[in-house]
Amino acid sequence: MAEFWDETLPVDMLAPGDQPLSREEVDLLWSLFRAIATHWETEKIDPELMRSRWLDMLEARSSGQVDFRGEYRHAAAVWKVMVDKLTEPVAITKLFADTVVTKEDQAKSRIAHVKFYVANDFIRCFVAKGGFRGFVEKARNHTGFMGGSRFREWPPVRTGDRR
Amino acid sequence: MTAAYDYVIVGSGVAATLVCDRLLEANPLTSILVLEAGERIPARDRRSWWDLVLAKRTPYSITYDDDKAGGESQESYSVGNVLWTFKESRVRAYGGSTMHWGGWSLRFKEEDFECRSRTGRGADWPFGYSTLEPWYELAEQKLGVGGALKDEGPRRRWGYPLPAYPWSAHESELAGAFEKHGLKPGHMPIARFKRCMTTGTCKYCPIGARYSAQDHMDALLYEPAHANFHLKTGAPVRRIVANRNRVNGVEYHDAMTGEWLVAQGAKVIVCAGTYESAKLLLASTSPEWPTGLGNRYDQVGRYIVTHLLFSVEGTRKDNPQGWFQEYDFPTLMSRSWDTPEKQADGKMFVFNNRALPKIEFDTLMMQGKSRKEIDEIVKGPRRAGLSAFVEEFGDPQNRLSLAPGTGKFGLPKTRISFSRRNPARFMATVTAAQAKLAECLASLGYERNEPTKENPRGDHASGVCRMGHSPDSSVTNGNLAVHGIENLFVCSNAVLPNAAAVNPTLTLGALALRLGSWLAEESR
Repeated sequence: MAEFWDETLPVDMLAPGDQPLSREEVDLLWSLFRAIATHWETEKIDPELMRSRWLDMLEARSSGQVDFRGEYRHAAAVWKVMVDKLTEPVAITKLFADTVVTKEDQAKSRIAHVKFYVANDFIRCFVAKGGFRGFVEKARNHTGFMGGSRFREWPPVRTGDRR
Repeated sequence: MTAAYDYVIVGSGVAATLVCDRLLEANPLTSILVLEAGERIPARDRRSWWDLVLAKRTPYSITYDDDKAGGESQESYSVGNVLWTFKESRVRAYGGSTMHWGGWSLRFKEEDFECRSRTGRGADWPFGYSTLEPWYELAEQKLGVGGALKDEGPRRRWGYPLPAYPWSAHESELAGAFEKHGLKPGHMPIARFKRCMTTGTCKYCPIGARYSAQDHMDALLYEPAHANFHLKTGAPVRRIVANRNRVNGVEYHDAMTGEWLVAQGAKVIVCAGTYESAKLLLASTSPEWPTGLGNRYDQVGRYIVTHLLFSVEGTRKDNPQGWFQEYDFPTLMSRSWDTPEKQADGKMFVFNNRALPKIEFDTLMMQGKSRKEIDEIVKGPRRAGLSAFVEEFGDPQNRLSLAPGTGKFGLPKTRISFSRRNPARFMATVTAAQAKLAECLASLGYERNEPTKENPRGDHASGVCRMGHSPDSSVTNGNLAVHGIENLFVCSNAVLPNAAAVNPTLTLGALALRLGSWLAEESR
């Protein structure tokens, strides 16, 4: 019998419904986001420092066109089952290492939906909001990061001998 | 239905905004109607910002020209011996192309105003650099331009309003190679309206840091003192209504009511970008002007020109520092090939490739690469690139004209015939320049990659309503008034007599401020 996360789903996005995400769903999604730092060993970048920006993303994408709430709710449910059944370390590897879904027409199962519509966005959010420094420690800036200041105490990027 | 205004302005980009800025500064109660064919696209909008960061989707790409050959929706046609690229070259929305520009804000140089006299090619301006210099200063202030006074460029009385962005580590290394190869490195002057100090803000800015005409125009619209200042979006103008040597207003479509309306204006200013400015004149026929306004001598649409953007890329075997392009814009440039000595063969403006070196952490992660694999990629081969614009010269055989039908904004379709008289010679010049830039990269250990084919992009199109002294060789005079029509003005890149080697927006801004101030003074 197929595991819950392997069940077939149409590739179309799931309907958002009328309700906002519950606290439990947000907590489950946050644990999924935190798992990115765990999987890629970017321990110098504390995901807690990204939480407000991540919440901003979640809120912004939970309304308007296209509304991701249906996918978020589904991802929270699938992630919970995976963690309960496989343990978190195994679930992390399964989602982030073993499941590659980069095109919409590949999103044909529950886990593929989670990866394509939610986890991939979380990865982009993680990188843009500071995760890039987990790979290149001295890097200062990245598209979407907006590091810097109105003031010129320090340059917004790594500089060299010539300025 | 009619309405009467002191000024009816067609278009809502940087030119329209800066003209309005001056008119309203002089008299806050001036009555102005701005008509924009496109709509307001989101700015300072969190959702749109996240859509860009997460899905790399921009809110303005839906406004781009559809130039897919053969389709019913095709809006623009290239028919010369050189393929003219329309795609992604202009934004048709409130704010115009400043909604997607990079903010590069360079002055033309003294010799650019005397191109014909100095080279026998192109055209002279009806005035010199010194006439425009104070307006360049004001434009730099209005746009919030950061730059370095010591860098190469035309004469300046003062420094830039804001300091230059420092070169990134990668650009710092490239700057050293520039010096060894006869290119004096400089800092790209960039317009950052509200002093943005960072990156991630270039394609689309959520905080209004990059100068956009929408931001600026909004500030003018929301000023309570400007009681007679109005803007309508979704209002394509199909013709200017003329009576002999005067215009009375414009005929436009009101998207709200579906009606065609006439907006009467004492003066009409066409600020609709190069393509639409010329097309509007051509479409505005009358018994006195059977081939279009200002077109008695068949000058409207001729001399179209733009910049060819050419590039060189190379790859070196390693990237020990894990460099990637932390800015999303180039801060390294050189004007050493933008000189009087180079003018006859076409000046060039050199700059760093904004996107290189590139490490796409997110893509690698989505592909399931492990930490170890990503670390190896980060330290592995590194790509770098240099690019340049090359100046081309206005040629009467090259022209923009009306194509049958209308496109998605209710504007006439576009046909551009662009050919080079001696393409082999032109491309030989480009190839030689590419070889020199490749030497630069080679000195830093980059092995040259295969070159790609280069085509002119329409981003910097100009020349089709060029300024001049005589109606048989130009469309507008030095005050941007259409020859033979006393109350019709064109203020867009269409009026530039030559393209020089650098981006035209700051020059257009200077012209717009000059026009707005002149009109305000004249009305006193």
